[in-house]
Amino acid sequence: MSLVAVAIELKIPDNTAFTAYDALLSMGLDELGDIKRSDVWIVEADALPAEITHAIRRTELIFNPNKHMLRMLNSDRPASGEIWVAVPGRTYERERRLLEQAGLRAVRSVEACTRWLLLDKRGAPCSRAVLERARDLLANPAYQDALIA
Amino acid sequence: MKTAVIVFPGSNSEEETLRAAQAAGADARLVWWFEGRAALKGFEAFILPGGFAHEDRIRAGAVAARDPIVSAVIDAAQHGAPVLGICNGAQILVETGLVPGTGEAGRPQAALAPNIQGHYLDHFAEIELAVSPERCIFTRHLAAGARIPAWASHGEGRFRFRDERTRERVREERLVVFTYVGGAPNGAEFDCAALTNPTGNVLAVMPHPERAGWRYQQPERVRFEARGDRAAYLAPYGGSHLFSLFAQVLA
Repeated sequence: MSLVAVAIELKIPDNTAFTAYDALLSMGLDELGDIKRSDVWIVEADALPAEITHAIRRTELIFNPNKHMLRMLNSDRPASGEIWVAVPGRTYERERRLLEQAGLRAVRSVEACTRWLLLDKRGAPCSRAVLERARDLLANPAYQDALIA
Repeated sequence: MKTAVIVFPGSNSEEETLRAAQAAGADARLVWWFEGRAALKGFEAFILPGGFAHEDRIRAGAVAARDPIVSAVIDAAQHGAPVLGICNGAQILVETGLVPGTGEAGRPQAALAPNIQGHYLDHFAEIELAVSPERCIFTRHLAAGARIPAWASHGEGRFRFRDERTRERVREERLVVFTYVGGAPNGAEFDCAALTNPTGNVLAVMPHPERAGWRYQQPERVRFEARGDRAAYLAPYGGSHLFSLFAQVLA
């Protein structure tokens, strides 16, 4: 059994990330230099990691090769400078079925969240204090969880 | 009392809202978000109309709630100014924390989460006064249990509260002012269609009363009642009542 975590990033300019950047600057986060957004998919299945990745690449609802890049993640937890935003209790049955249709057998779990990477003006990950100040813009605590490293 | 209808990039109901407010007798005009805080000087009441401010990027209402012009609305609301948010305006008010207004200022205690169906809903709805009319300044001239027609049109309209303590305060302080007749179509907690704050001067209403403000905007059975009567067909009706109540507050 393998667990694979991938980040699906836009190849094209990300207007939502630009808007978030502007909003955070207007909130006084002057340390912020850049912000990047991606969708994280975490898939656990009775298969080799390469097979899982292949199935993800073939599932257009998750990955559209015309506009997305797929990046393998080393962990299923946020790294420094990252906020992962998830909706507790949300299920991904449709994506699970599509992954199975793409050739993946025995999918144990499918989870997803939005990954925000906040960088300072030198391009280094922002401090936890900055992430804490950005948290309420990026996740509403009434229905979303914000996970910070 | 001058009323500002605040337009954000992506608002799409400002003209209907302005028209409904003016028809009810309010001295209202449009103010654009880029005019900034200073443009709101002299206004004593505020309406945040529906639409998709900032394209609902990140989350509906999240970016607009942190706009400098909204900070002026927050200040005014905290000093008792009447504030009405409709649909996207309601989402903005929830994101500011003004409603339910039970926690730390500036932190949301509730959300307008995606509809339980996972997709956009667009249909006629009736909302019913669920509290005593005196609970909210906008409803104090309404009869108990009064109903107002409106068009529900949203993808993120499911009122959710942050935790049990917030729910308890919402229940105890009777902050759910209107509920959907027949139950919330979007899965909102308490069947909530409109939420106020503890002082009752802010109202966040999810369906659109301004789109049901005249008889010709009502469902066919209501329009049919006015067949052959042009004046009745074009007369204010239903949702305009909420704006009349708003104008009465300002009088």
